[in-house]
Amino acid sequence: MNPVIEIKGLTKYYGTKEIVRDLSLTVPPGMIYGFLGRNGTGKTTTIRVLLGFEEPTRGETRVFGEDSRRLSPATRARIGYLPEGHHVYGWMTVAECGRFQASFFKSWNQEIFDAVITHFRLTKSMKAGHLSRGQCAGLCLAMTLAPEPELLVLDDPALGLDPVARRSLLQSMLYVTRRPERTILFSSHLLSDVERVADRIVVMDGGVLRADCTVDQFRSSVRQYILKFRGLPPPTPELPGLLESFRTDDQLAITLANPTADTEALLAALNPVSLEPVEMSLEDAFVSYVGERGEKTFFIREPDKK
Amino acid sequence: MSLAFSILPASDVPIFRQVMQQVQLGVVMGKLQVGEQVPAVRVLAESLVINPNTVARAYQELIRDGVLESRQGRGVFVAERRQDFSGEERGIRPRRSAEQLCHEAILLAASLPEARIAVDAAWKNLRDEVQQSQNLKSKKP
Amino acid sequence: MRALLWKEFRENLKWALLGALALGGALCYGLYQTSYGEMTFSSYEGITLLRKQFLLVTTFGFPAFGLFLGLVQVLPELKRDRWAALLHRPVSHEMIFLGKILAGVILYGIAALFPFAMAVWLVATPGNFAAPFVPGLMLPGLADLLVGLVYYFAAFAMTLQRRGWAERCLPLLAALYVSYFVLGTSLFRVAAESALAMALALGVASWGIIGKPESLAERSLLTRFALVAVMFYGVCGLGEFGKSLLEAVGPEPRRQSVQYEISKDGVPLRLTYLNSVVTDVTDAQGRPLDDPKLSKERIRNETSYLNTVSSYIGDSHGWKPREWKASYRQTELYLSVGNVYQFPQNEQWFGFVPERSWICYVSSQKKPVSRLDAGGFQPVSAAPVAFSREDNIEGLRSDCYVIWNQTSVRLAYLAKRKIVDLPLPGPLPIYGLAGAYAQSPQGPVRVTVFALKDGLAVYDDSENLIAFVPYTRDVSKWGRIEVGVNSGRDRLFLWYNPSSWIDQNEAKTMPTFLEVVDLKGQVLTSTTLDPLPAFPWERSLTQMLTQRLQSPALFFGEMGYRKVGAIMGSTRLENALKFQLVHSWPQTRELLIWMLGLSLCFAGVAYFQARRAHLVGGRVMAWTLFVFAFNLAGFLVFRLAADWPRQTACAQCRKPRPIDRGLCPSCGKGWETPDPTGTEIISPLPAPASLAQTT
Repeated sequence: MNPVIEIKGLTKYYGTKEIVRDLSLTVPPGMIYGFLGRNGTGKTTTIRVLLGFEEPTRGETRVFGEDSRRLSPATRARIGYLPEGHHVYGWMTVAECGRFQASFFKSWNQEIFDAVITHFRLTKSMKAGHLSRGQCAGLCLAMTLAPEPELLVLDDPALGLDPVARRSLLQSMLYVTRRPERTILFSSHLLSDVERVADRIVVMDGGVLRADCTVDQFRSSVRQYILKFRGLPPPTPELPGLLESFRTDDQLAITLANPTADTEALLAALNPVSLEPVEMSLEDAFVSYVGERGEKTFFIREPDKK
Repeated sequence: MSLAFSILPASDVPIFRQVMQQVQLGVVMGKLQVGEQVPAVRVLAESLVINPNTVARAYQELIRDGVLESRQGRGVFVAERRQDFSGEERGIRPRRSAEQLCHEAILLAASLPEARIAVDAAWKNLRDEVQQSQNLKSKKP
Repeated sequence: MRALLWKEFRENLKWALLGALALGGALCYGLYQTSYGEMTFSSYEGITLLRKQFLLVTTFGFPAFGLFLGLVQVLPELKRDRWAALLHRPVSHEMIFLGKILAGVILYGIAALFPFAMAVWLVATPGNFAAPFVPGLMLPGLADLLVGLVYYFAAFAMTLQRRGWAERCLPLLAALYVSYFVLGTSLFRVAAESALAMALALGVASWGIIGKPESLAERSLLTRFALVAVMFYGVCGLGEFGKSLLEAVGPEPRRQSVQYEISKDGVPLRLTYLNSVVTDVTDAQGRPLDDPKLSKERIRNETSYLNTVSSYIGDSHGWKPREWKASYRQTELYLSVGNVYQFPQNEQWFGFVPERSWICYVSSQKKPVSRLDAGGFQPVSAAPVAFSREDNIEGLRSDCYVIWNQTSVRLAYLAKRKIVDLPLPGPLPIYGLAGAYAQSPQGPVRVTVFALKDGLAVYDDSENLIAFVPYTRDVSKWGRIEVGVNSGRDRLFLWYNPSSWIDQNEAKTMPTFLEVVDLKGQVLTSTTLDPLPAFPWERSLTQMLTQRLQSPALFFGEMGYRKVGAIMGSTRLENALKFQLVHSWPQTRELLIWMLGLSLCFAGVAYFQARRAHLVGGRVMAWTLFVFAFNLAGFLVFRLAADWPRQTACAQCRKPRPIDRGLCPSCGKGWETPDPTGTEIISPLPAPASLAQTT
């Protein structure tokens, strides 16, 4: 099975500032990939390079086997792209938007377009410029889904949407996967949504790929341990995979990535009164994973006092 | 199907495990009879707005646990109850919930006998409910 | 494609309509608004479509709208995501571009061509203007229409660029250069071709940019070539602008000259000028004068007004006078504008230059009333008969046209619509005519003088011959005679200058003669004026810089062109070449040294910069040669157009290395992969067969 997206060693600079560094990723067909990362870590840039709107400084990206810089119109017809911001031509009506978009594609499923439009409570005669944010999102989604693309790339699609619109968005994404070999790559900050629909997640941190695994693997790889002590806890030791630690008067909460039996033994070696692993939600795990490193009391990092 | 599923996305429990728990609860409560077909993967996924693979995984775990069984080409059905939970499991898993119950009781400054009364009452309620639904089902033609 | 056209059209139609309204209004204002009470036309101001005000609108309004339309078609969509949404469609980027420009050209036509066509229709329809219409009057407006298109495409090239602000300015500067050129050239064909060529270059360059806004290397050869051409002309435009600026604020060169002038009483004087200001007045031999009337400040009023009655008299010497062709933007190329007559009503005569006939319009009725052609005064309805090529028609006098050729003179009295033959006293041929003029207490004094074979025939204001003055000098050599008259109309001043067929350098060494004669032909005084020294012509700073910084390619190209022309028999080109290489060899040598020296310096700097930036090998040589061939302009284009890779310091050898290449060119080290932090969570993809089944 040929991968839908292949990124090899992608490095992208804006000027002399490095935005993406040595990113390698392969996306096979038929999966839903969640693209996670804090703002400014290169997610949108990667998507833009992938679709040929920016040129990579080094490395290459391929979609359906074609180099992103030279995507043929036929390949572009197989990719649905929903950029951030949901841009529409304000003077067109909903119906005109649909007709305009349809004129570019050989295969256009008007039923899907109408269904999504109705689902978001739009009528054909509304002017695109008068739509609310959620309605705009619905219109753009309809235009992106109607050609039934094999690959759907959504850049922060839920930005600014109300919960009902977000739910509709998720439903539409699941609807797309009804047909086999349909791939979705979407970036989002809403971890709960990602948890619901993503097969695998990709986490970017500072322009570097840090995680590429399933949601459950991510959750099970990021674990928090609560160590209770009689008095003041000892300083946090050097642990492999240490993400953050939180120190209070008698307790040390340590979050680790990829904990092994050895690391647990190291923790036990601190002689705590009790040592409890805690289940983290995906959001908590993610925040620890990409957040500030090091030891904290409350939310400010303090140097070690004694 | 009269079973209402729901999931909490931002909880500590992974989604597939929540689905598993709810299916199991349904079987235990009698809402899902032995031999009854559970909802199709895609149908359940779309109604819960979650990834079908998650539902599929939940079903696979339940099949492995023996709660459900897959019949080729026809779907997934509730299996015969098999008592193959080990004594250890029967000990460990209820204990976690019992700890939570005790925490709550101590917070309210209740005593151990008061806590025990609460446990007895809950047990009785559930038993009655299961009995009721079993009676209902057996009355149907 | 149709959908794209529809979208572009619908989006921008409102601007086109607004533009049509604005331009239409401005053009009408330019046509109708007049500073004179009645509708009359002057050669200076221009006729209808060539009026200064009208051409002002076409010269500035069309380009401004073209630029505006281009900007408005691109800028609102240019935010990154919006642009991505536009371009991510199953059509090639080139088709999207084509859709935009097709719609844009149509909209430009609506906004600019349509009002212009209306203006032309207005002028061409009889009854609207008291002036004739010839198709040639449309040409300047058409040229400006094309220039507007150039600005339209320049807007595309400017906005689609993503490189730097300098590259963004250059298309606009190239368009400015075309504007300069179109205004300055005298042939319509050249202007139109250059505008079209630049529009094409900008269009092709934009075509290349739209898909690949960042790097040059990915674009096709044709679009790269177009972009370099645009940049080159942009730099030329910058140079033009710089030249104008420098001329305005730079130091003024000292231009000194000495020449002879004749006073009102026929006394020859020597005037010294410094930058067009009189600094000294002496007599013909250089001795100071006593007369207070002839002081520096008053000298302008005291000199006589002389006219050349013939540029050369004698047999032919194979010499033909050089015809002065007007620029296509000047009325004189199409129509000669005559004076206005008050009686009985305001009438103005216009001459059709190529057809060689004249027509008269009544200003208040805005219609033609009479014709003047080879058949005399005709009614308007008659078919015009052109004057022969030999006939000259001059409006020397205010009430008639003098129609003369080598054998006859006729006076066409305009108000009386009568032609009168003028009898000539001496043998033919007629070599020329002039009017002389002086002020007297009774009013202006005028005479008309004809140069015949043996002497000058002098007439008064009507047809009376008042004198015949035989030549007193060798007119085959001194055949350019300037004539003046005194206020009492009893003295004629004849100043014999070397004939025009004599080479300039030789003419400078010949003396001139001033003869004061009476009406009987008696020479009263005769003065020989020695040739005056010539001061060296000091070049302005602008000229010096321009000459030294010109491209060797263009310099030697022009020399080659002259050489080929000389070989093919053109004497003009041969003379130009001779002048360059022989007569002014010292200046040419100095220029060559400076020009080649500067080119070499720039080329050297370019070479080192290219090497330091690690440009690909062949490109380094190519750019070095380019810079050598085009001097400063080439260097600027090199700085802007070359694919400068951004560089950072290499981690190993600390030297700069380009960020888009895998290995450091100095030490060969690759790029470091980011260190694993121990927190990576990478799990392999499952094998395809084990993906979850969906039932």
